[in-house]
Amino acid sequence: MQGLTYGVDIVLCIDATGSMSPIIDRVKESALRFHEDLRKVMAAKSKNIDSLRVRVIAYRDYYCDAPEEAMVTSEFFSLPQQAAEFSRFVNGIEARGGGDEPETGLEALALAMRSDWDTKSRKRRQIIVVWTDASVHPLEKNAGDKPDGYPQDIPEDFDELTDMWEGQEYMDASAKRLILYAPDALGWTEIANHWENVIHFPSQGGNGLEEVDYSTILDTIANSI
Amino acid sequence: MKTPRLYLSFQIDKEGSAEDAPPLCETVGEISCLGVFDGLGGSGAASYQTPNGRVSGAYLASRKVRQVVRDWMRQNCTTGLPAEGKTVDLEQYIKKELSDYAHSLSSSGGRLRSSMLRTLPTTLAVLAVSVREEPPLPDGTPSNLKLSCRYYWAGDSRCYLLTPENGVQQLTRDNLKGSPDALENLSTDAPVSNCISANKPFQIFSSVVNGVAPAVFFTATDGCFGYLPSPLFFEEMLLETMAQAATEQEWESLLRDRVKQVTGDDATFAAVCVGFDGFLHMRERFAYRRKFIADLVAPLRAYQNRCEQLRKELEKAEQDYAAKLHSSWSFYKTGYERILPHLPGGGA
Repeated sequence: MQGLTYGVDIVLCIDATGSMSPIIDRVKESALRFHEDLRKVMAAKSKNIDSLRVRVIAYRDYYCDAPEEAMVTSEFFSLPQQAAEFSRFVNGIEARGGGDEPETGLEALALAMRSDWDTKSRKRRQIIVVWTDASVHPLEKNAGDKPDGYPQDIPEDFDELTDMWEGQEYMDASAKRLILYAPDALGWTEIANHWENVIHFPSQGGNGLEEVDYSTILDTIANSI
Repeated sequence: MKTPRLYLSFQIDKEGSAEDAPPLCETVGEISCLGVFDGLGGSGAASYQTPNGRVSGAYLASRKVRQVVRDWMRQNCTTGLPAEGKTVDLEQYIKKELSDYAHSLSSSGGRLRSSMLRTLPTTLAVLAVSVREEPPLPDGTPSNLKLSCRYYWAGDSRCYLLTPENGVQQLTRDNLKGSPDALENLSTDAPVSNCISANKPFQIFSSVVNGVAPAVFFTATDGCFGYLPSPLFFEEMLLETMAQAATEQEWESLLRDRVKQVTGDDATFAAVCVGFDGFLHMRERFAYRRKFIADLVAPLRAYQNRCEQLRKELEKAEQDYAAKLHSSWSFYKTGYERILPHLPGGGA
């Protein structure tokens, strides 16, 4: 059987604030296994992954934390070649800081969308996964008086962020998928209700995710919709 | 005298999914009815407990809609092709039956929310063909067989017409986001913009094509045509397997084997060949078209083979280069490190 080959890019956005402490180890474990679980599901459908890359964004809160702590990002790791580096990066994430909720989750999402996605593969998947237990700061908060280190190219408001997701400039409309392991809270609920190609598991960072729902998530990413 | 018709159909099930329903291929009165149904494995991934075990919504949807369509065809094709106005009737019938069916099922009750997820999603590509014999005219025009085909679709499964003069012609317009053409669709993997489901609005599209026999009408799910480099290769596959066969059964078998070799998905196919005096006559009528397509495909195959050869050569060259880097370093290293001081304890 000939099957198809896919280029798969995954960006893992992990809320690394202090409130995530009780679940951070489980989240990191989920982050580390996600690509392999997806590869298995796609292989079962004769969709073989030719190029697999994973990037990690650990985020906290620009309004509370030092700039270098508020957003810690990696480049894409090519797997399996850079599996050790990927694992080291994820395992190095510690839950701390962030103050009280909300956090700067939408900023992390914007950075994820601007990733250097693979555009060469004939068939593609561009996947962003978010784990968080908190709501988000509105993007327009403190407009014109952003904290030091706040990225310059972040959308000014939620509508602009929505345009980034729905448009063609940053991500491939056919390939993109967004998985939210996030509470029903400001930001995430609006995204789940209004954006295309999103799956939301309402929870504290994926707590209570059952196998049947996890299988559905992987099938929805791997198959035609 | 009843017009001779040849039927062929097949279904390729991928182990563990079986999202395509068995093809619909039967005669109702004088009408040939064909249909394929492809449950959407992504948006229909949610599973249901049934007496036969846990299966996906995609699996259940394609089979239920097949049954509903077959019932509807049996009611509406007994006296001829359904009229245009009947399309809404079919749509409403599917909506009601599928909705009732969804309520009767035991859902897994998952907590996921997504606009991507649909309840019992499936495609549909169905056609009905009628044949009418026109008597010879006083001006000497010979008798002929007038064909009329009404076809219905939702999603990206397709109905086609294949004639000796014009080859394969796609009848249905794919319901895909971005409206890619048939070649673009092979690489974009575009989501469907319209498909049957129990929880979201959908539309059954319908059209009609008229012509003169002989002709082949067929329906196919994307597993049949979606894994080839170009739509040209699909026609080549149809005509080459036809040329290699001596009977319609052999053609069916060869075609199924060829599709199975290339597909990465479930694949379902159903065809009716009308107006040919048997399979050998049909094969003969398509001989010229087969040659025409073979001439178009030959240079593409040459490029394919060249690319494959270059890929292998590149792979071999990279391996040789890596090996040479190491062997030359081993040779050069002795002189290069001749006066390199040794550290106490043998450390670097």
